Amino acid sequence: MSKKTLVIGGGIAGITAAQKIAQNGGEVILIEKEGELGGNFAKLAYTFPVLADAKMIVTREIQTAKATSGIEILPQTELRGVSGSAGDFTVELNSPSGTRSEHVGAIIVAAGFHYMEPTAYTEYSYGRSPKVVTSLEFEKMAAENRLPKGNARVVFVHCVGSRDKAKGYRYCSKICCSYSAKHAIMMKKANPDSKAYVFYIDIRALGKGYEEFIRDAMEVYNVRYIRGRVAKVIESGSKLIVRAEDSLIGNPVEVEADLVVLASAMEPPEGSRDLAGILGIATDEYGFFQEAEVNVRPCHSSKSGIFLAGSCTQPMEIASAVAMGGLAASEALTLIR
Amino acid sequence: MRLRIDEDGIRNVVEEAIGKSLTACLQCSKCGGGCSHSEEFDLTPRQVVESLLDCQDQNVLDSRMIWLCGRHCSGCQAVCPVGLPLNDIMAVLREEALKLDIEPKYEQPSLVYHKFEHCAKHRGEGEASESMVGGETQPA
Ligand SMILES: Cc1cc2nc3c(=O)[nH]c(=O)nc-3n(C[C@H](O)[C@H](O)[C@H](O)COP(=O)(O)OP(=O)(O)OC[C@H]3O[C@@H](n4cnc5c(N)ncnc54)[C@H](O)[C@@H]3O)c2cc1C
Ligand code: SF4
Ligand code: SF4
Ligand code: SF4
Repeated sequence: MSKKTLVIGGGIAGITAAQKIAQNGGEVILIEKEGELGGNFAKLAYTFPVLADAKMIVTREIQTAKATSGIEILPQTELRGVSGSAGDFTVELNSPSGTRSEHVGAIIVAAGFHYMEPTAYTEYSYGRSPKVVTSLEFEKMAAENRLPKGNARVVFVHCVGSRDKAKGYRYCSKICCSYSAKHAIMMKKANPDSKAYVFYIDIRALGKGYEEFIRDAMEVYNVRYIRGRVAKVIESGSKLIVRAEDSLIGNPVEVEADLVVLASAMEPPEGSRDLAGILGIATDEYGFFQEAEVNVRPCHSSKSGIFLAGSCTQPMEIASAVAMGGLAASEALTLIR
Repeated sequence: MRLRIDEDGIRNVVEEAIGKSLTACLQCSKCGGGCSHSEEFDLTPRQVVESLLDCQDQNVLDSRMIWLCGRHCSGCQAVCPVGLPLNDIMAVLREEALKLDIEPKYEQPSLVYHKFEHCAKHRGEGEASESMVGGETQPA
């Protein structure tokens, strides 16, 4: 029986799983297809619901993983093949330095999510106007100090690509209500002269402190929430016109904006079905990895010895990805110890 | 005025005609924002769907909206995230209203509306509203 665990994906879920296994005496091979660890967390500036310093936290967690003995980190590495069964898998790993074969007792899939490029949303002028950006681009703008200056008006658009059978996904991406509120607050903090608007269908912000966070956006930071899904963003000279129906009034409304931020969908990681094929595990109708049982076995894949962690199973916030990483680690430990 | 909610109404006729249940509606109101004419309406398309769901038939059939809507445009359904054919819904409602001898209400809005305002192209708007999904549904 092999004492090692293979963790696929170096985002916060994979990092957490690797740390917990190693801290409990196991050995880990952590493979990451990119050059650096951190995943999407590393692209954020601040985190809801407390506006914590994202870079500081993710760097600390990466350092801890690197400093913990028993974790071998392989960047730019992908899985090519798997054989064997729980407790005794043989995996083929492909790195720039070549291919190698390893024996592992358990596998944890923590391949994360991909952020949807909302190119289908021509009605929002995405791809046409440089003033229409995604929420992930907004994080980058904030980190690089490029948020609009002066008396600027910024409009945040909920549910782009989510809750949209026609052009995106039927599911709700779960956390964009919360990060849009975070972005509106970040905007107001960075530039108190700016005006921030959020257009929503309904507000889904479930978690400790989340409702309070949204209320603070409205009450403390004076962010205006308008109920109605945005229908159009029209370029008009140097400005943008955002059109919607205020469904609480039952009347069409428009607002002139300098920047429009689209809360796009969190979708399955690129190549998730191929990876599932190599591993021999199931995905759901969208391509997220399928848990064996939603309620009490959220970390079990459809195959014994292969576990799931983080946003490769469904859209989720950092705290849930960490919790799942920890649970996947303890499941793996039962096989390798 | 307090409305009395009911379950039996013209909704069934509409749903049969479009081959879809109105329960598909997400209550998001994107349609009303996408319509170039809703500023002239007494009910927004979303309010029509909502009223149909609760069987406020009279409200809908007496509205001006069902007559002003649906001429070579489909800005609403081009952006509807569940693809509800609002255009066809209004056409069914016009037929039902005619069956009940309800007087069509075309006159109120400006003529500009009939000439240019209805056409997104003339307003330089996004292509979504230029779409002809749903085709023509001129009332009889
Ligand atoms: C705009 C935006 C703002 C957000 N703000 C917040 C916030 O304020 N607070 C909060 O709690 N959450 C926030 N989130 C969510 C947060 O980013 C996620 O919860 C978190 O990144 C999930 O971590 P993860 O490890 O599951 O996935 P990821 O961060 O996606 O990491 C997955 C890793 O796996 C790697 N990988 C993928 N496939 C393979 C493969 N085949 N082989 C090897 N490696 C692979 C990827 O390269 C990546 O490094 C936000 C998300 C977005 C989009
Ligand atoms: S979390 Fe909010 S913005 Fe995101 S899809 Fe769900 S309802 Fe829409
Ligand atoms: S069919 Fe045209 S007029 Fe009628 S609701 Fe849709 S966009 Fe408006
Ligand atoms: S756009 Fe479609 S789903 Fe949204 S309110 Fe209108 S009819 Fe309903």
